[in-house]
Amino acid sequence: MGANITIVGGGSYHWAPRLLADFANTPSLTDAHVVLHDLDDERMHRMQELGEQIASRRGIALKVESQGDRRRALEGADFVVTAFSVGGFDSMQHDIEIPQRFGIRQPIGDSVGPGGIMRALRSVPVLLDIARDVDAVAPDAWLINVTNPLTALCRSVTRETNVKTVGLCNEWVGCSWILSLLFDSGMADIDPILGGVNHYPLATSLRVAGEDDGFVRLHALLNDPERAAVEPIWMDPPERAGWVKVSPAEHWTKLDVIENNRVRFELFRRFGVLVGSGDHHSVEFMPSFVHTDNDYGSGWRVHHYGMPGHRRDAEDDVAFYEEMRDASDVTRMPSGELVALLLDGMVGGKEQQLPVNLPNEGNVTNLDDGAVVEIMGVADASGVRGRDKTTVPGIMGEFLRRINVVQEWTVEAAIAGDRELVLEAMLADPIAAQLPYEKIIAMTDEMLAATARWLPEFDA
Amino acid sequence: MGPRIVIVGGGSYQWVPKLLVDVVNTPSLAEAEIVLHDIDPVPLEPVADFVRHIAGLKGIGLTVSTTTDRQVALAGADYVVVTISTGGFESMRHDLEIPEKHGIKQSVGDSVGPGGIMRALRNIPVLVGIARDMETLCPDAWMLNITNPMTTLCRSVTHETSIRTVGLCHEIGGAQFALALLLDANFLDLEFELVGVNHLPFFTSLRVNGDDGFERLRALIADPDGLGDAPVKIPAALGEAAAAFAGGIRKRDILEQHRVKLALFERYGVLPGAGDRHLVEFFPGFLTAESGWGKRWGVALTTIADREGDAGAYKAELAKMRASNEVSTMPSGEMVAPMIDSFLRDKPRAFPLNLPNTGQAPDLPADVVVEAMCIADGNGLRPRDEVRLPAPLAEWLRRISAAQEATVAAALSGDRAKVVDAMLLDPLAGRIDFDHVEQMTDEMLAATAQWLPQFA
Repeated sequence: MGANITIVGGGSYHWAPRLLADFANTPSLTDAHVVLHDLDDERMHRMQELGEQIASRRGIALKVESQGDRRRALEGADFVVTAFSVGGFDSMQHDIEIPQRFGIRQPIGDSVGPGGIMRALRSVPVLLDIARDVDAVAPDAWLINVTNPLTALCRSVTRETNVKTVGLCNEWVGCSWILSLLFDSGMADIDPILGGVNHYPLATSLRVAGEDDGFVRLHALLNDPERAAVEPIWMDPPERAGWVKVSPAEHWTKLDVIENNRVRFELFRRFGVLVGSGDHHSVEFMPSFVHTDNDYGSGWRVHHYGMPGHRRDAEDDVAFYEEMRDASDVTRMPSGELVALLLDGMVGGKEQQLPVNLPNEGNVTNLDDGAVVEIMGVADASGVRGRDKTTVPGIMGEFLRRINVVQEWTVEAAIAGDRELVLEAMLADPIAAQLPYEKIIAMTDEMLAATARWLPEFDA
Repeated sequence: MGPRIVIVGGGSYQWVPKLLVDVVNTPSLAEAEIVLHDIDPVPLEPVADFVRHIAGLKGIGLTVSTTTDRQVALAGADYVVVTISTGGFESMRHDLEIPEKHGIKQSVGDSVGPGGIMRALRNIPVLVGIARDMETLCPDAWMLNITNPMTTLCRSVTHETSIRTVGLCHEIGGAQFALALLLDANFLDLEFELVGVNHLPFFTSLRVNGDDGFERLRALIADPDGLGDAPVKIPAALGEAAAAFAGGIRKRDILEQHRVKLALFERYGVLPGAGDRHLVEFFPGFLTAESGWGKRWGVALTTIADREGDAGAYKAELAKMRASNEVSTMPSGEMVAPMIDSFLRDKPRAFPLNLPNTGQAPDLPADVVVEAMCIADGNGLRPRDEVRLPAPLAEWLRRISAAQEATVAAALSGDRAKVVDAMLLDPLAGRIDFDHVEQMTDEMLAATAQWLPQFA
């Protein structure tokens, strides 16, 4: 009998094709029973059809159904994946464009900063509603959240319900690829100790292929740019990464890797802590890299997604879906998302280690217990738990502590529907706090007003 | 035989005259042995001459001596008052001018922000050096520090030495005076609790003759027009000079001078206890180009020229007082003399003081130096209250405190990278972009290198 997996937001062009293909490629999940639930009936059925095609092309027992009624979709679930966006681009554009009018440019705006705070306000009540349904009809199920802002959303559920919750994000996967290029290793050989929050996971030490000296080797490489400029990397960067060729060599080199992740390696060089997310995410936690005085990080090669980037991603997702639909076989390429890997550990029973977002149980000593932290986890038949205990040193630890305070207040504000708490979160947020006091207040008011229809908890 | 009170920086025209007027007006200190120590011999004699003059007018046995030798001064001291400025205006100029080039204008530059950090780097080694001398020459003496930046300076001494250290600042007294005028109350009838760090203390409660002072303050703020041109009433006890000085000041003027403080009070329900020009350096959202660098909030930037003007005025004031055959009986508002009096006579008094956190500020880590109400008596000093702040301010204080701890670490280590750390953590210095933080730091270190031997 296969695992019962419900995907809330199962009509997602981004998530459904990737998750279904990953399930088909994971032996312990090929007989899973997947229930797709979505508010968009047409998309939901489109993805069900894709799932059925995948099952028949592979000749596996994977069963995919659609269920428009959320409670019924959740009944009997062992795992509930939540992937949704409240208001989509219509709401998101206010997250980006209103701060921009006040002089703030957020590269992404989906984790912290004014955009991340507003997105949390919209999504927390929805996720809590889902979690309460899970609690009622499938109380033993694991809630696997992949929706942003991941930290605030997971925290709202663990704070308000008893539902077992884990948040998954693929940012560290990207970092392990980058490190594998620098270490000439496989991605699976990269094993960090992590202590941070989502989109700001901080590696405090690094094992490479079983050896503890990852950071020593990394420092040595960073201190030897001449060597980095000639050493080739085992895989060219994909075009969509948008990297700039810097080294004079004809082939891509390690220097190109370093120079296209400037913030990450600058922080590592100075503070001895390796940020495990892309620079476009991490600078939202340390906004002095994206400042009016430095052309919003252009010298640091910070990539600004903005709304065009978000829209392009969405178009790519549709293209990916269509490609899958029209293919005669099912791709064997892992999506890079971690849901199937986690499920394989919990369903298949073979221990898997992966970065997870879980309530802090002394894992990150800089933060209070209960805060949701991104750490290395162990998944097996008994569930998923944090693996390590670490302290983020120096100022990186203090920046982490500061941002987590804002995240806690964001969750409080979202649950209480309290405008004053929203303002407190903005006043304490590193990006928003770049503005004059009176402008933070004005921006917050404007953002709340512009997105009022997605914020029923804030009805005056 | 009275206590031996050593003043390091004893040539200070700003501090020594008023502190010593207080001393000669304090009977328990009539026989005190005053030692003025300064590295600059020039002002020592005129200042000592003034002290002899007022002691003579009082007809007391107080003695005064001067020395440029610190060890001679400290030997056998009971109290060591520290009022120094390493590099004076010459160094301070760089604290203001270099950040300005990088987009940061500071209203004072003496507590936090790039100026406060650099001033700490200059003064901390000197202060720790004094305390180390004290460990051998007068290990039981109290260090009474009135030098800025007070929090980081006191913290460096308590971190590095066994010397008992307290920081004394008159900002709370100033706020108390403004409140008394606004609420038609006697200065001494205000009862309050407070907590914070120096130049960022918060009154968390206020009683005035049994009334809730915050309620009365809220009523005033709610209807400033209702105040009309009502003038403040100056308590008769303050004498004619004060009446002449404050005559014609309207309550509305006082509200206008405290707009940042009152904005924070309205938001958080607790009242900052330092002048607005200090507050904005801790809350840099008020100190931005858009607000005319605080102008819109009624904050003026204190310049080096202002300070030079003040210095001239202190000198002129001393000459005037020297020429007079009367000693003012008006307390200066500084706490040095009454605090020592409380020690000597076991007379309990409450003062706002800067001491290591032993529980008076549960929102902050243990051992960091915090400002809170303390009791002075024959047993020394102890915090009086345990005071919590509203969550947003508690977090803001933690951020400030983290930057101050980094500042102390930088000053003690002489490590340039640690200075950058402190700048990045500081809300005001860390407001500019990453590269500018580093450039600004390097320029400031270079420009003031002669006063920073630990970075050589």
